Amino acid sequence: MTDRPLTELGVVETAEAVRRGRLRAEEVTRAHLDRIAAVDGRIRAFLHVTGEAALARAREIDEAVRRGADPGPLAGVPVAVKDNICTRGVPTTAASRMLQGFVPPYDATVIERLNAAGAIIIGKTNLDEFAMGSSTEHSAFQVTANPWDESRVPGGSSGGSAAAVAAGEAPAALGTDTGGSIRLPAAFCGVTGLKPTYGRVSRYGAIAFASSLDQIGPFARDARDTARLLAVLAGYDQRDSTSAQEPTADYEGALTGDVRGLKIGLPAEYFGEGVDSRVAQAVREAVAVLKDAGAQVVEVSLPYTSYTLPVYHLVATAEASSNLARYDGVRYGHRTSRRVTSHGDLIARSRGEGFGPEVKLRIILGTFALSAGYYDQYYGKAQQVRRLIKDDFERVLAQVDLLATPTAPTVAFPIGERADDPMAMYMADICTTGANLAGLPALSIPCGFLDGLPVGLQLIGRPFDEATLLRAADAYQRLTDHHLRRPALAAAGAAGGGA
Amino acid sequence: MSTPVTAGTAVERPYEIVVGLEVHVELTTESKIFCSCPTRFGAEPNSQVCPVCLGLPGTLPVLNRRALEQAVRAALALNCRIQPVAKFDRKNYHYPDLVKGYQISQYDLPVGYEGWLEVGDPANPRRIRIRRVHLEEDTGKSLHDQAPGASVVDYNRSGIPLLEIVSEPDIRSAEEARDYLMHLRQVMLYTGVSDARMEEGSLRVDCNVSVRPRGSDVFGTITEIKNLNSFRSVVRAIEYEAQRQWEVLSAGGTLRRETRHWDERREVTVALRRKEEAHDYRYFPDPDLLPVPLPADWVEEIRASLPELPGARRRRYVLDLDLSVRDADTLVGDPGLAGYFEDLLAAGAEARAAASWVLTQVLAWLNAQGAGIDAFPVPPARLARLLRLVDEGTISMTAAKDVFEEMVRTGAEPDAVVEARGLRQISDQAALLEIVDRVLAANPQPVADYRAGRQQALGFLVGQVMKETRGRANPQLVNDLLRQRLSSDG
Amino acid sequence: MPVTPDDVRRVAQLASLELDPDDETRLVQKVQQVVEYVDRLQAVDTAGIEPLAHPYAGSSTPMRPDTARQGLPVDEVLANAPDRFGPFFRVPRMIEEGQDD
Repeated sequence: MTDRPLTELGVVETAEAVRRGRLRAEEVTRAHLDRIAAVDGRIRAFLHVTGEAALARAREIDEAVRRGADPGPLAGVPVAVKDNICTRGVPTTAASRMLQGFVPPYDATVIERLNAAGAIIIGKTNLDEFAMGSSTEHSAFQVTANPWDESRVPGGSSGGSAAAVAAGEAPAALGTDTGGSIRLPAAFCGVTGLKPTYGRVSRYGAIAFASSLDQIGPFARDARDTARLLAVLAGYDQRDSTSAQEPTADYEGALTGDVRGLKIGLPAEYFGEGVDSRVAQAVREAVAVLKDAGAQVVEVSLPYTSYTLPVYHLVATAEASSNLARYDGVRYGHRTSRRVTSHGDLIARSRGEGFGPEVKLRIILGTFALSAGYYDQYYGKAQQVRRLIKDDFERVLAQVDLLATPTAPTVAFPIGERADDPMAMYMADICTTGANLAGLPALSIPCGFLDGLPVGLQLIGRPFDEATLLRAADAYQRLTDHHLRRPALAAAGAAGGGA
Repeated sequence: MSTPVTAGTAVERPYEIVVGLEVHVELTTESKIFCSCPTRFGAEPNSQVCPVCLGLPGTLPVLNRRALEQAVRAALALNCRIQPVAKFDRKNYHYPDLVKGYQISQYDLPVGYEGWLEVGDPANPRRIRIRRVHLEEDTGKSLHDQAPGASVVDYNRSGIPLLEIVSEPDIRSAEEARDYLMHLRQVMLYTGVSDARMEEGSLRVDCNVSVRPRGSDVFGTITEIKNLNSFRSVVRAIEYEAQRQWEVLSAGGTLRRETRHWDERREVTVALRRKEEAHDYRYFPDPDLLPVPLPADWVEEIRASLPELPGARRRRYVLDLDLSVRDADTLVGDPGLAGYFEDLLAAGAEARAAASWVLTQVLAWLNAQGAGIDAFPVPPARLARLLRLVDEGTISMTAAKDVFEEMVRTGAEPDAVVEARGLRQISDQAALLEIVDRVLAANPQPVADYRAGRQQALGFLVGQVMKETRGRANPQLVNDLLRQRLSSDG
Repeated sequence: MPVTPDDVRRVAQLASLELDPDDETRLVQKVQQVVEYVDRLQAVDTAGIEPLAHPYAGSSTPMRPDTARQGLPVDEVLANAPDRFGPFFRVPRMIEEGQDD
């Protein structure tokens, strides 16, 4: 149907072609498996590739099409899944030694939804251990490379998913975002990544990091593909008590290309200290594109911005210290092979061996923040300031439809540069944690390049108004071509072949 | 250490016992509190678990509506105030039977608070205050006698809804503790929230015990006693522990706040090895669950659906129906039996006679059969009719017992049995006099004995008359006639 | 506030986390760094501010009806167990705490 390699096709293009019988899911899947075989030795995005199962699933889709059935809106679309999302019968490790070899007996709700929509799970992607990190260097198993510059990090924690999409290994991927873990790697890898409103997508089956912040969301190469994925993922799930009963929207239908009258706020605090001025400039230029298309742009202020990162680290680590308490070597996961004389030693030693350094640091911090004598000063205080931060956003979003900021203060940094310096690493999240604390939807799209590395534009919206974010992102992508650029790696790999 | 004093000497003690109880009851729901696994007792190990109650990564809790309703029901029956908005918190600690490394429980906003339960004589009750009633999930069960040199864990119990009921330290003796537990158990049975079986672990008790000199109002150092698996061991353990504490204090020693284990076999409490660190459970709101509003109209609906509670029933039996406290307790203690008794009353039976029949004949039959009241074959209306026949003097008590046996055996109507077996009591004075005279004539020696002042001879003569009438004579009338004849014919 | 090795040990014990001496030294320094950073919150006036536990704290928790459904087959329950004994999960003997059950 096209002379482009199958690995260049997007989600919507692929699904529509498969649905109409113009493309076979099996060839799409095989093309991506070939691509993975060709480039993943260098990118190291995948921890596990589901090759045979994916092909078998693809043949089922093709068979359904032959019978005249509609396999769904993601028919034949290969999807890479972050390895902290449970997949029945497929190893799920959260990139931790603690869960090496763990095979869940159940599927996350998002996996069920993808399967029901005709998608093909092609593999599980690398991440910072238990999603704790901003570079994917804290994986217990491998360091993922940024497809634009293999000496640089892909961002984190969903670095494997972002890199896989950027490198043409999958047209779509799932990530999780607790403090920026979808948006930051989307920015660093030059793809589109969406963190939905808290409660928009079921968390059931996502290995919890910080329950009041975590959201699953999609990666793709543009806003339209992202909208298609969100429509499949979004919606109430009775297995997740925090999932919202709000109705979903027609996300693709919202992509009118029209931003006339749209009010965009530029929060001054996101363009100042700590943000690379060239990044700030690229973001302002992107906003100017929308303004030229008819959007209104106003300067706004979020005075509590400088407290978002400390609040985030207290809330996230406190919840994590409890969420990660279940890894005790009794029912699943790593158990020490050294001799122990009590179950207390069994648990402490298995945990000491199973968790990596960053996870240990966060467990210690979170336990400390909740411990007797410190609760009010740290956890309690953070919860109070969290309300002030949320109030900030509510006030501003009553005046504007969405906020535009840099996604990250810099472009992708070199592997190893910050790996052992937690504070430097945490600074990568200064623009992203606010949306998690306030529960707001936010996405990142590429808006330019600096020294050959993508720059991310972040749009933050009102609760459950993903449609407006996607409309603005799509309008921008209709007017620009940053999202169409592919890393040299991708251009070099000719796997896939035209059909 | 000396043998603990027995209950009878409590009044002479120089000290007062102060006890607070923490009781856990498993709620009777079909499914677990946060997942759909069944709650059946005694299932094969690890056969009633799913990813949620196994604490697998990625799983989330969803509250069972019935469990919440049961908790509110129990809290109301314990005279608690109900929280307008409750919430769930995480209690963090590690133990192999705890699947998530935390237990979902309630910290500062329990379902119910500030309740009470009355114990003792209904005419002069003592009110034990209840501090809080909260909902939480049960843990799995560790077993130490299955695998050689190891412990094993069964998670069937993990996630079964539990109610924790915490009393204020208002209990003043071991007997009162037992009384409180008995009453509490009855409340659970009456409201249907738990089957409260200590032997199956669906009711578990921890005791906080301290002592103080009689007359003091200062609280002493508390020890917590665990591993109590019967009401009897609760009584023995409190007695033992109080005496032990008093002896330590009397010898000039000091007590440690500690947890002690009741050694059932040796009947002593033993200190558990103390952990280096005091517990710090780091409670915080569970972010996987949202607030739990308990709207007033819903709460009132539940309150309106409560049955007559055991406390009110006991008060009515003793104060209105004039039953003994003992009989009232026995009836109230068995809701099925009490229900049968209530049906007898409704069918017109007189209360004391009805209670007496239920607690002797009916209970004896049930015990002999090892059956519950549901299996008792005589409908209450039919038994009430039998009681009426006795009350009206139609048949004697002796005959009534025979009729009862036949009714139980064949399901017959009492009137039919009385007619068929000719058991109608002879209350015809002329007819009886004839027999009395015949008996007197035939037994000159007992007659002489009676007249010589040996009263017991009368009993023999009554027996002879009853024998002549095959038990049908009205015994009171026979007595009167015999006395009359024996004194007049002197 | 300053963080001491004792603080880290105490907290590690609460978290059931065995640390080797290298871990401990490294952690003391890093925890100190982060605590110093988050201490900036102490400057915020939060008098009378209700803590926010959840982005949508106004809502109420959904509930499920009390209907039972069979869970996992026992083999799947035990499939990931590091050590099992028949239908049970096996752990080292619980000595002192065994009584505490």
